[in-house]
Amino acid sequence: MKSKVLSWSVALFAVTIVFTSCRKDPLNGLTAEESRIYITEKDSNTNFASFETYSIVDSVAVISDNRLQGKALTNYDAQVLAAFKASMAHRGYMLVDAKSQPDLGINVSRITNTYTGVISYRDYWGYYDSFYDPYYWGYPGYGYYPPAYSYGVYQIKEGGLSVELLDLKNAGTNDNKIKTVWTALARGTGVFNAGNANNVVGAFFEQSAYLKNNN
Amino acid sequence: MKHFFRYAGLSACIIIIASLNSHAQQKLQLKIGYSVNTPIGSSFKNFISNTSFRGANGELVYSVNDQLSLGLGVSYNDFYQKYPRQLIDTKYGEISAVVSNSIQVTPVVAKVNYSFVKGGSMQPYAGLGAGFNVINYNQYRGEFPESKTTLKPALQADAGINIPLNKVRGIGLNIGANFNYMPFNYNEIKTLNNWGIHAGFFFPLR
Repeated sequence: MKSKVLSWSVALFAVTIVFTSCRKDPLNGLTAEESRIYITEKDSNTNFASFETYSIVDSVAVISDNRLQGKALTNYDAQVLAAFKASMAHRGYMLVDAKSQPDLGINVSRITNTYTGVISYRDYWGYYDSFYDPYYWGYPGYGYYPPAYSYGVYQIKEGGLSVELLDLKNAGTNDNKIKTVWTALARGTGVFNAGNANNVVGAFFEQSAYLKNNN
Repeated sequence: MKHFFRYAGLSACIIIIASLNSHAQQKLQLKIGYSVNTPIGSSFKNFISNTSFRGANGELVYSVNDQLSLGLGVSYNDFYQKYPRQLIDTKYGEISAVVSNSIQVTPVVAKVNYSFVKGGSMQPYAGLGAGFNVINYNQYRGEFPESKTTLKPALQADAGINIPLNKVRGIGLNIGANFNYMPFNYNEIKTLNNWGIHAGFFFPLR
């Protein structure tokens, strides 16, 4: 009797395993647009209306596994930069040359990681000087303040578009460090597709209503 | 869903065929069926309010006498719901994401069942069970999941009717309703309590 109970218990368990394989996979119900997430964060002490001018990089940093692979200006990169210029203009900020002492600087990066695991966004900031030499912004010898806030930790499967807004206006009063006052990250399927550039950048601004100059 | 019915049907057929040669008055039975369950309680319903149509239940039953039986029950339900894109506030900003919530519960309980009548063409019964619950929790923001698998206690109550189809062979139908008490207490969810209905077959085991 004991062996009978045992064998049928095993059979019951096997049937259970079959049943438990009947799970709706949430990823099967997602379109590419639905798969994407947009994360924006800001320095709560910054008054974004106090800035009037900005400049944006002329190419995009390509960063793989926390190493700068180079700067690029693909069709996708150009679309992203153009979308940022349009959105910043719409929010009342004036585009000026990087040499003309802009109030804000915008860095744009494509971050890709070829491994599956957990990435701490903090690692990215440890190499930030090598990605973006403050010399470019007219502040040779300066460093950067990493943001006091953090994206937290996410599992990386593919990569993301990362954007940082730098406070150049007050760089001289920040102990020779350029403060990052706003960050944006887009991740998910199709995030590096040129056709999605406007939607991605539009999403950043849509959820950052405070990012505007009222003048 | 098609796979679910295919596997459930196949499993039921195998067990029916295997039991055809059994003798009557078998003390050991297997119940197997399909179940539909719906969440109860605001914290669970706020996470997932959709009824689960992906469920199954099984029970190994040992008859102590004509009215009292002991059982080892296993059931399964897959709860899922997708929400439109929304803004989620974080400490320093916002995350815009389509949120998909997915929870699978697999309670395994030791049961006591009591049949209210001896014999008869309709045999109403009630049962109580206690055991543990294997919980698989996933919350997707876009395609990025936050996952947790854990073991928690579970209590189960069910009542229904056994309808013998062939008293000699001891084969019959089972229909009933069940209530599952499932504490969880993770993020905003306090419990995974749910209730449902089930229908299936019972067979003697050789």
